[in-house]
Amino acid sequence: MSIRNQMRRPAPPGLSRGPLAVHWVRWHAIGWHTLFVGTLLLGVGLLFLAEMAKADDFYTRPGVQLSGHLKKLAVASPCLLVGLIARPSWLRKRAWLFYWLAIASLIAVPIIGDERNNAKRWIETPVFDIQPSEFAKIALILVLARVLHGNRLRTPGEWLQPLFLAVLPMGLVVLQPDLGTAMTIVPVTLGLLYLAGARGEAVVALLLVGLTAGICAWQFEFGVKAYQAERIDTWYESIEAQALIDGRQGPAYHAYHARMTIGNGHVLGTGLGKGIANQTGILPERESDSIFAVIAEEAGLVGGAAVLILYGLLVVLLMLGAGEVRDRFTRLVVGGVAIYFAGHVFVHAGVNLGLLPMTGLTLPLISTGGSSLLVSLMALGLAVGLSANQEPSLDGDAFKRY
Amino acid sequence: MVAARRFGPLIVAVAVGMLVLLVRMYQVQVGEHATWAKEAANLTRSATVMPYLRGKITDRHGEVLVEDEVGYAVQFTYREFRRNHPLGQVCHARSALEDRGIAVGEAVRHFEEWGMALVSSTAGEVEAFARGEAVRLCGIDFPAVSPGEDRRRTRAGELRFYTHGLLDVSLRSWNRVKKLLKSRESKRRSWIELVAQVEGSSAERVRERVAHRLEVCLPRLEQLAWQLGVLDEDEAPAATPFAAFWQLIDALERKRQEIENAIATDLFLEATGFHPGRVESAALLEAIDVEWVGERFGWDRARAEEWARDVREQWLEDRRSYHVPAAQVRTRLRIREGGESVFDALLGELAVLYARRPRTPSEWRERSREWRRIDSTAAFAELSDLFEELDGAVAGVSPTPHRDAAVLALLRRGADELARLEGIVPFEHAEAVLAARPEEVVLDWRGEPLDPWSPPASAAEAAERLERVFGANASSRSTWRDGEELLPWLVELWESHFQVELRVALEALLSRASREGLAVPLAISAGRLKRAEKKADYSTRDRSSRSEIVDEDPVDAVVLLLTRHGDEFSGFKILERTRRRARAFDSDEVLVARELIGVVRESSLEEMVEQQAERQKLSRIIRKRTRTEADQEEVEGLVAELFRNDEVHGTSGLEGLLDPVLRGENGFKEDEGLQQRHGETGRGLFRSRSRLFVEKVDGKDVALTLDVDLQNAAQAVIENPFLPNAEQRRDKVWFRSPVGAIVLATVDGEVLAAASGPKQSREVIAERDGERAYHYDRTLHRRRFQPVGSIFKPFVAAYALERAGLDPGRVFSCEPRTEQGTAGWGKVACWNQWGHHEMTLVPAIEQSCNAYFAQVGELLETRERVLEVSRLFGFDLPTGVSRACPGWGLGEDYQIPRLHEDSELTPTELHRAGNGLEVIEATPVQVARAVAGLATGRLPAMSLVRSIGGEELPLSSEAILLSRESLELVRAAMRGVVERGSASGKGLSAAELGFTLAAKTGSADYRVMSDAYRAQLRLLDDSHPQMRKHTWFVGFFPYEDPQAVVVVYCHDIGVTAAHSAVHLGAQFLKSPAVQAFAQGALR
Repeated sequence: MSIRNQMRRPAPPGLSRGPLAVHWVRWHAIGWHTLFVGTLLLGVGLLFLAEMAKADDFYTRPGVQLSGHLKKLAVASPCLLVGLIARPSWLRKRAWLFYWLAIASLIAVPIIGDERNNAKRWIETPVFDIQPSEFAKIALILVLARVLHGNRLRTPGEWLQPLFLAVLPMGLVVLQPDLGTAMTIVPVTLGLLYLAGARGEAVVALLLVGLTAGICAWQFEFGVKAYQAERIDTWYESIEAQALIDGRQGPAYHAYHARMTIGNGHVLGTGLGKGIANQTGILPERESDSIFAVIAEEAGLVGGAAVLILYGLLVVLLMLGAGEVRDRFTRLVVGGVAIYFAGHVFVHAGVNLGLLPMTGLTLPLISTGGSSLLVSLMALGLAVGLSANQEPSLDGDAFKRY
Repeated sequence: MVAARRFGPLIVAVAVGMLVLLVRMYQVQVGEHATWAKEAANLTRSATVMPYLRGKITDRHGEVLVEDEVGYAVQFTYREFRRNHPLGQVCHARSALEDRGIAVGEAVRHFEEWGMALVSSTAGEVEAFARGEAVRLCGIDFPAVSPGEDRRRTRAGELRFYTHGLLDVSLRSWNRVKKLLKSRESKRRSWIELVAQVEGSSAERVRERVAHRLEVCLPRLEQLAWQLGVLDEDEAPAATPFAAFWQLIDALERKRQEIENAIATDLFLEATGFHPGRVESAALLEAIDVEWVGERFGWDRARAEEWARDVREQWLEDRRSYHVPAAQVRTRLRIREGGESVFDALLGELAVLYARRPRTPSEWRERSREWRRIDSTAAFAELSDLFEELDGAVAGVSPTPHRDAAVLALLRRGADELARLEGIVPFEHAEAVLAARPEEVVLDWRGEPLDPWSPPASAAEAAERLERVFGANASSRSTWRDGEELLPWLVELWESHFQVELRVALEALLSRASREGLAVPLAISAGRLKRAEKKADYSTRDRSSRSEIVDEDPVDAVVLLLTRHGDEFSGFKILERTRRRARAFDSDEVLVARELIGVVRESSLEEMVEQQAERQKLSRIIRKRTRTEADQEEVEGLVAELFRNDEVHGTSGLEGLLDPVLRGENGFKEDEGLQQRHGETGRGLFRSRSRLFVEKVDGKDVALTLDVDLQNAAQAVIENPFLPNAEQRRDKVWFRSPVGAIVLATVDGEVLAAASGPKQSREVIAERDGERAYHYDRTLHRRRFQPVGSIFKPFVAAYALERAGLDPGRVFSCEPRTEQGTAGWGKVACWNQWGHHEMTLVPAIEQSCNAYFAQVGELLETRERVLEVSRLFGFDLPTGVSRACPGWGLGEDYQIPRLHEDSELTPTELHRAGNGLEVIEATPVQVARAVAGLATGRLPAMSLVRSIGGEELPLSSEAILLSRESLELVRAAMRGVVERGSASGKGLSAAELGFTLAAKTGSADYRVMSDAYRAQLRLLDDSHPQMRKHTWFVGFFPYEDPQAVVVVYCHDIGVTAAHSAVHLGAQFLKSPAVQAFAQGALR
């Protein structure tokens, strides 16, 4: 039998034919619909980035290069496959290793990282720059799933461990400083706690405590840098359009241009490549942190909403897929990835729409950016792959205890 | 299943989150769409103002005197030079490297060496330098310092910036270089090698390219310097290109230092709340640590001290023109409100000028001119919390010299003296003067400033000097020629006391500091320094971005050089601009009738600020995405109303008077840059826009009544009068440096020539008054006491014949009253000391008998009747020259102050009024009008403007209510003056002139003549003049059918009119231009 045929043949449930780290992909069980939605989103990103590159070329300004994005995509695509074929048990056993590697790289950032725009978030490599905080999110999902796999959150100690595991990378990310990434860790952690059996009231209470602490930190400028406090002030003061316009030359510059770009789109949008953001090139980070603004402008309310609905669909599909998984670890990982996507989309769009303070966060699968693309593809692959290749837990079905 | 159930709430949460996003999207994209679409549209819009051309001014025959011309100017911006010119880059990179201000000249001497060293350095070296490590960079060994010390990071950033500039690579390539720097190996390679790598070239080739750029840079600059000419007007023109180059380098260095000083001043002002120039530099340096102000330029203490001294010097220099603008203060004194005393108004002005500077616009508007309410003065208003260590220790120390009784007493006397000198009367153009820039008002209103006075060294000396002036010695009063000269002394008094009080406050502060063992000079608190530091970047950008015009009229070669090779001359730029150009010149290449035509200025800061609201309104309309017709109309109105920065306004003379008609209306054109890029049809977003467009309207052309030839002839005579050889009484000093005016006008009131001398400031002559130091229009203005003398006699005679019962046959005696002669009447002496004996009217006019007209003066009896006779002939009334247009700027001094006082004229004043002495004052144009009235029986309104926009202005006149017989009698007597009287034998006969002239001479006492003054005269007869005079010569011609009048005025001369003004009159009337005119007029 050829290797090709062997690969086509489904592996018997519960058995892995491949090496220890990977297993045969059960293609018939793959959530093709989920992958299709993910691919659609990748296509949307390519389409808009191509228009951006065209506009920058037309106006002879340095900016977006489609070839660069394609190169990143080429490098990141195998990660989807890696995610698809990763074995849950292998992942579960090495969750701690991934976590501590992520923590080590976050610690290394201030030491060997490259400083850009007053923040040290990147470690330079010959291919593209790595943003360890992006990888830390996946590592956190894995380790939380590992911990919560056997944790029923009944005692304070059982609560403390996952919380500590979440707070550690969050703190390191805040120090970089990268408020946006830190903000996405919160829903992932809380969501995983809830999926692991925490009472809804407890999770809400935790959220409220966190919010209160954040508000206090902002108000009393404790643990918040001056520029961060200023950003929050600016956001708070410029939720109204006129206030934002008045402050457009100051710290609200980015927020102003993002909201103006979105507002200019109206219902049907200005048309591909014809938006003010592409014409003027004035919107900061329009290929990454503000790409949703460009989409909403050029595709209008209809197009922007469609992209959000696609994301919603992706998240719901992932969650539904997770709900069907019997293995607790796998379920938590898939659920965590779904929350990761949901959190990213909400923060990214919320920032551009002025619902959240300005912070830099990419839109998964759409924005350019090596680490973001790599991690979001890997996360998608993991979620889809794990859903399709669930294997019985070595510890037995965790939910038997309910 | 429990697990599946857990996802339900999460899916709901996600759905809610998505819903929130969608709702917000709807709000922003639909609800707020109009707002954001408008904002988006504005990003691509730009508007251009199309400047109008100001109207031409021509003479009566259409010869252009001044007109607008579209030309070029060379603009220099230091920031551009610093950032983009290789010399600027090398100079400032080296400054950053060595942490000291490198002079441009020094950079020139090491230009290529330093430039190549920079581009040959490596990024690793720069990084090590930034980290504070010990490193050898560009041939300099830097020791290790702790991180953050010596501003190493900032300096390294500057080095990278200038190195990038020197390498002259695109941003894209530079970004690729930066990417290369991620590898350690790349950091060890030079910038040149890295650039070579990204460009796919060899290092040698890049090195050659940079070396070539540096090599040609200075020769190109030399070429520009040579063609540009001299940048500093004080310097002599360069003789060689090499010398020109160094002059340019010196100018660049001056500019560099000037910008450094300005930034340091901004920082000091921000930190302390007061301008460093407000305090004597020695006191400032003794009390306050100022080394920090120049830290970013690498200043050492000596340089900081130099800055403090320069700033103080500059402040003192600016004081008269800017800080205490004399014309503005004097104008406010004239228009003071609500019965305010001159003293209070003066103190209000001084106190406001010296009060703590307003911090906000509302504070500025509400600042009090009530000097008693001012409780803190400019310097040290914030003294109480200036120094951290002395927090609150000196609260209440606030130097306020206006609370010093001795100062107040002196200022009160000063104010009284000012009121006396100024004859404080309402001033019709006061508001307009206030609206203009003070420094220009000073120049426009009274010519060039007086000689600078030396400031007293202390308050005591200032007070002592003022005491001397106001003291018992009356003769010293004559030192003050007018309020303009006195005012600076009063300011000096204030300033000196201010400094003394400041010193006392500082000494108290320092003694407190020494008691507490604090280091002196005192360090300003950290909070304040931080505040200043926050402003540093803005100030640097602001100060170095301020452009200045370095050549108003560049030669074509410069224009070509800078437009075709602009990249090689970063910092220098060609501007297209409209200029006011003189077209008609006299023999000295000076604009014909320059003083009368006046000057223009660009829009003032005040005007621009005042129009801020309208400008914002225009901006709002421009920002609208869709506009209505009403918007278009409003834009048209606003564009017509708003001034451009470089728009010229007439400030004086006819340019000022005719400003409303000479001005046009700017055009307005809205451009959409991106639309142009996409082609006129536009695409998408840009297709549906309407664009604003307002056509410009040029100003109207104005034709004057002046005739260029006649004007030049008059100007030539008043500038270069000559004396006939036969003249026995000669004031050669005056003839060498004459001061006066000549007017020629038609009897209808059209002024054909109105010349004033001197036309350029001349050296003041000992014993004479300072008038020759000023050049201004003297035909309509009089600065000094300016009686008309005997030329008034015909007017008195005509009036007295009709209304004072004078019989032409009535005899008045003029007999000698002592053995030495001294003929006269009352206190009025007759010029003929042995008297004219018994005189009737006609001989009295012909002989100009003073005793006779003193007795006629008695017939006038009252001040009202003297005023009546004056006004009958247009004295004490505006001449009408300003009626052409409602503008301001021409102005005229027409009032006779004594006739507006409450007190009745004394008999002596009546005697003198009859002779045109003391009481009666007038300008040459007023006299010309009166003579025209006498010659024709109708008093014309004088006119300088013949037509506006091609439309002729009507002439007007009104009948003089005197009988033809009376006027004929007087006219005949004036003819007799030429035939038999004081003007006979002076070359004014019909045979010599070609027409018959009726005339009158007049000499009015001005001041007592000193022996030294008398010694300046060359008196070939036995005359012994006692008084300095103003002399006049007036006439009309032809006698039989008067067509024109002529007036000659000689200021402050030692001989009578028969020996001065008459000669000028003859010289002028015989000139070819007048002869040609007379022949034409007679035909």
